[in-house]
Amino acid sequence: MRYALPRVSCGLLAAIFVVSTAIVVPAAQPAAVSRLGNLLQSELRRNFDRLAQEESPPYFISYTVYDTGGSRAQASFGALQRSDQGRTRFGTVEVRSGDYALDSTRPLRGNSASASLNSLLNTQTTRVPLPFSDSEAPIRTGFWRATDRAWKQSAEALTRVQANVAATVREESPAPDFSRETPQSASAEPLSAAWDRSTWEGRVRRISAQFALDPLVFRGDVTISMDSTTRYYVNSEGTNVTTSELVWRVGMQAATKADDGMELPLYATYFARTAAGLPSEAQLVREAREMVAQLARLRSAPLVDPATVPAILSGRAAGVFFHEIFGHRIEGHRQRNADDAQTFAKRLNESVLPPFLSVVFDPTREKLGDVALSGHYHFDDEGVRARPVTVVDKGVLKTFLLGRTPLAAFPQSNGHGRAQPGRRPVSRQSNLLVQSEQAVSSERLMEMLREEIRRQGKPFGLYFENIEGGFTQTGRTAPNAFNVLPNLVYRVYADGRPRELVRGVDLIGTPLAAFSKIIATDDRMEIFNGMCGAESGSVPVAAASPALLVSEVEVQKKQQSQETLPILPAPPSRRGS
Amino acid sequence: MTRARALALLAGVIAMSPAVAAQVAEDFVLTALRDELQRAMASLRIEGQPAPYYIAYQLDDLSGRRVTARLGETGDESFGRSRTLRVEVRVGDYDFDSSRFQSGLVTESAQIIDDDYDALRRHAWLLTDSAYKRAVNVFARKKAAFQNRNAEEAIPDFSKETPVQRVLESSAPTANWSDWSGRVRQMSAVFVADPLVLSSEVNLIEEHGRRHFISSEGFSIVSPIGLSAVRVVAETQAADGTTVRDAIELYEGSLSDMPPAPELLARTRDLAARLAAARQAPPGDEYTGPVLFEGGASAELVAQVLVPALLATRAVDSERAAPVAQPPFLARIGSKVLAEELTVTDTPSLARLGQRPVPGAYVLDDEGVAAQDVTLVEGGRLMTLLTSRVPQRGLPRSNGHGRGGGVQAGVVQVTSSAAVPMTELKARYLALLKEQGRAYGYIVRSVVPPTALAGTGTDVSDILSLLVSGGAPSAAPAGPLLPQIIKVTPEGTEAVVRSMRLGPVAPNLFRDVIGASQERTLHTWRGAPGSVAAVGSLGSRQVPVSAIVPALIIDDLEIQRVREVAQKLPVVASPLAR
Repeated sequence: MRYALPRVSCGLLAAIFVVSTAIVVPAAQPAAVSRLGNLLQSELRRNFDRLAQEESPPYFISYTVYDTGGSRAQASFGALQRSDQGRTRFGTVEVRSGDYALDSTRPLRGNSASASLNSLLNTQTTRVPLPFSDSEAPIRTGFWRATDRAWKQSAEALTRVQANVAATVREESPAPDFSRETPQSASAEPLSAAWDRSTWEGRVRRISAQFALDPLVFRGDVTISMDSTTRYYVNSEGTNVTTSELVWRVGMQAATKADDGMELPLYATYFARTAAGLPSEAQLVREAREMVAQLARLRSAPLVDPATVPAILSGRAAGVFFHEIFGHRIEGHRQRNADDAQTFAKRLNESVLPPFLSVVFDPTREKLGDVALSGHYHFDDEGVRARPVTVVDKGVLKTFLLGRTPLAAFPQSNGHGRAQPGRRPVSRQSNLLVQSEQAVSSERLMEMLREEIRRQGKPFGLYFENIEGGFTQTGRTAPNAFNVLPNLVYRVYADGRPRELVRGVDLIGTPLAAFSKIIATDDRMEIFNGMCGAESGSVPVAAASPALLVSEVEVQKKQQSQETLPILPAPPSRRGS
Repeated sequence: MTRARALALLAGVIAMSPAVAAQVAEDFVLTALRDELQRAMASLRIEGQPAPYYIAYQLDDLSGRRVTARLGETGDESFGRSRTLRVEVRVGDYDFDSSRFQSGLVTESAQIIDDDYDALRRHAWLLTDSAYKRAVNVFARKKAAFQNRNAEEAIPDFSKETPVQRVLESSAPTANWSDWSGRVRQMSAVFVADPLVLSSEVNLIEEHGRRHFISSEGFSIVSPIGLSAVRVVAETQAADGTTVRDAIELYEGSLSDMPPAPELLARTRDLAARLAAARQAPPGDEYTGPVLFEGGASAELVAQVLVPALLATRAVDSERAAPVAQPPFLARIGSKVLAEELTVTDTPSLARLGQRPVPGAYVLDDEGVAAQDVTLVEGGRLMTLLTSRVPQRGLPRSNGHGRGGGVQAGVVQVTSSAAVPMTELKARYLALLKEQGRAYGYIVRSVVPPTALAGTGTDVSDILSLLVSGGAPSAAPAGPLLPQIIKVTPEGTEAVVRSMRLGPVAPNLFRDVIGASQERTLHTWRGAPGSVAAVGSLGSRQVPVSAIVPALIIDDLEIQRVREVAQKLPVVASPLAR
């Protein structure tokens, strides 16, 4: 079963997750876990206490250490392209001056050089390069220096904030700048696993070799990777939390072009927490062959003209759809931002989805069925304990996703302050679960689609099997619309003709209208695991949903590349195949 | 913003073996690339469009290792291998082609590690197809832009050169990497002793590998590439808050050519001592007059100021019909540009200077053209410039200096017909100060570019200052920094000062050389690809460049205070102070 979907390139700020190439050194010994946490706590305390005597003292300091290891093998058409192993360890420092109600991080209102200066400070963190050992001298020195600089910057920022607050109109919803949370403590063993380089290199070669079987496939890559992240977080409130995570991923991509130059890509990704959790080589080889066959069918598939018709979104497609169209709009910090359209800010306790749908974000959930969920964690990047959050209950909006930047109605974090290592956390999604009380079998749902086509008198409906990603605008200045990019779409006919693969379809619309048109769902949850990029970088997320029947979707023609297929045929193979 | 800039991949030809093979052995790489090259030249063609007249493939196979240490502990350590295939396609002809327009050259690249004929050829096929389509497009736009221009004097786009077929011997990488890793840790531990050093870092990089190059003209070359670097950088603050930084940067063709461990450690200790001395030293006074540059400093000055003026760079054309910038010395060939006693040559053939290998030496340049020794300035008079296959006005042929994606020097030598021993040169300088009735003069021991020594840094203040100043330098163009500068009285009393830089500099300043030593210093740096968008060939990368230069007295130089907004000292004491 293929669950995963490739990147969800959330259309905010795209961020690239880079794992540096460095040698893998065995992860720190268990005893060292608390040792590093305690060393950080001790240096933090030393700085905090001394700075408390200064004129503009910090009221909050946090230190985070990220110890990340990455191993990957990538091959293209049967030949190795990259094979790296790396490890890096660095820290970040956050210093806040002022107090919980009004502090140095408050965005400045109006457009000025100070505003862009402060907003830059709010997205950057001070990075501390660190040794792999838990040696005191370089670790303390690095954090000491960074704390001094971060404190000076926060004191300056606070002065600008205070002047700005005094000079501008009162805000609509004066919520505090930082929530108060219960200190947490937790430790974890650093996770690691052996990386058998030649095994994985051989595997990516053999799987990607399948793409060379079709000379019209002009891109055919396979990557297998193992990434570990051990995070040490301490703050001046007393939190001291160590967490560790190990993830394995397989990514496959292949692409061809239609005769008219339209590029046709297909992706498949898999996610697991152990090597054994990944599909077998035989399965992946079959998958690659299926992708080649699918590309051949896509190449000769007809184009679809712009149309408004009823449709089914498969569970995977619906998961991406909800992540893009809904999930990004209920991230708490957007409700505070004056530049955001705030689609849902004033809709609390109102109906935003059909009454048979609920949406839960549950980072505590490790698996759904047998499938690992990549948005799982125990503590978020602000040291707050993860918990399930029911955002929509039977169609009614109940809350938002919150980090430690509160809203007037919600003074606490609900454990969704997340960031890519090295970035400043903001509220982000975790495991999105769409729950339906109006579920029918998949066969019945398809039957309902045919009925809907007949009822509306449309020539056909659409079945979206897969969506490669999408982007969405949540700002006030641009149209508040979405555009998702399906790569496997079928035309469905009411009269019993078999479904027909089509190409060149983009799904467009506006969020609230789209949700009001969901009629029913099926009873099978499908899952996509992917990376989501936004202000605080790239974070792992999951979305799970049953298939959705929608009374009306609007599709437009995909943008298309002007370049044609290669002029010369593929060169003759020496190997033969 | 983050830590020290990573030292980029570097390339340089180092093998000088006399036993160079006469013909190219047929390895699978050359076979795969040649097969695809022949097929593309024979039949790659869009109906109604020009066929390619030139195709070249370059495959760089590089292994790299790097390690960073701070305060006695290893931070980042990495091992990696990359093999990059680059393809260049030109349409048109040597006189007027698809190159040198807007973004320069049409190239495509991909990574491929495996020794696999099929996969390599498949990548070559796809990259060539893509590069050809782009070349056709660029050529059409370039022709359109030129159709109404009245070319006063057409300079060809690409020079014709004799094809070379050679295999140059490769060197082996350093075997004792773990020794080096330990050495770097030991060097970085020197700074534990000084709690007033705010940050410090030691980097070591070794890269080496082979390059395959073939072109449709019949070039077929296998050559070694590689470079090793050691960099130590440290930062402290003077009592008035001024930042004081200093660095050591050493480049060699391979790690085994680096100074031995005790010497590296001693030089690191010297750096720590200099930093401590500079921290306590007063800022110097502004000054205009004669300045003595010791050997290393004069070589750095030559590298930063004179060498760029000796390169026959050529800016790309664009759709905007604006005149393009000319190299400052182009119009002065035949004229006097330096002091009369100075001669400047570039001698890539000089593989050793006494016992020391010269990293800037090479046999074939990156375009496959045989390196030539060139006399650039004789008796102060400019004879010619260094050239690649991109011709300039009056310079139609390459003299084997197509390096690093543009034109670049190899081994620049400066000599003076009036050189005297160093002790005598210094005595002469002091006498000159006395003669001019000056209370003091300056001896400069290092010259670094204004952008060098950027912090090993940990914060965003660098970006912030850019943001505040709108990203543009607010003041007049600043000259190089002088992290090691000594104030000297006519009686010879020396005192360390800090926070000084040269005023704006131009190549003309070497007209005012009024003394030179017999002793010469070898200095090697990374030559950046031609900065004036002078993209000329495949593989824009940094290459080692060496200079061998005497100590110099230069008259009438301006030395300025570095004006910076000093930050307060840290409030909390250093953890090392406990």
